[in-house]
Amino acid sequence: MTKDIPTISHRACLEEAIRLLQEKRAPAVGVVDASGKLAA
Amino acid sequence: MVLIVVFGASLDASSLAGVDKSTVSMLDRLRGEPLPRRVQSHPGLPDGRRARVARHSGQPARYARATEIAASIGQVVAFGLGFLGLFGNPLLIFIAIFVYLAASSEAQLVAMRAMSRDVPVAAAMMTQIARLEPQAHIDEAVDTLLRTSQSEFPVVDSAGMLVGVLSRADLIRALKMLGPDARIATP
Repeated sequence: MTKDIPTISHRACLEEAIRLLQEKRAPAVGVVDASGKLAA
Repeated sequence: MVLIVVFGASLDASSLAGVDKSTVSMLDRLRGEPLPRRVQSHPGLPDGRRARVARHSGQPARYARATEIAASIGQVVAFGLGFLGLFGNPLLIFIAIFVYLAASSEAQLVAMRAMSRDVPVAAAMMTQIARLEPQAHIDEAVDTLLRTSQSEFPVVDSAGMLVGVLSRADLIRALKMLGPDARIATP
């Protein structure tokens, strides 16, 4: 399992998610709500 | 000036109208797109310089367009190098391939970023996705892998917080090294 997956607010823009994917070289970016839970 | 000479650019209103249409080809866009004068005069600028020129011109969105033009010119140069390589040093062909692919990659990346600037992440994220718990066994993850078309699974604790991501490769490796009874959080 890959830990330290970057997360992003569900209100953020897609550009920010792409930037995170590239910078962190992560397999995915978790989209979380205001409480930090994985958004559904 | 380079656009006008090389691509036959024109600055009339009718050609500018089709600039943002996705059906208009890149060359047609180049012919019609009025770039800031400083960008036009230096289309082959390096990355950082292009960004600064676009930013200082007051039109950051033009960075993508400037990159597209720079990539096109780089590809033309790559063709030239490749052509010379056919009759001279074959090493030029490899350099040409490298330059061509790098230019394409850069242009696509910048274009993707520009397009995604105003798109909310909620519009692109996967919502119907199977999740796994850290305490789940590997064989449960294998069942989930077989049941779904996903290749990566978010591992979420009981509070709904993201713990990590389990990929298909991780799963196969864990199955081989630890067996089906191991917990997901272990590998």
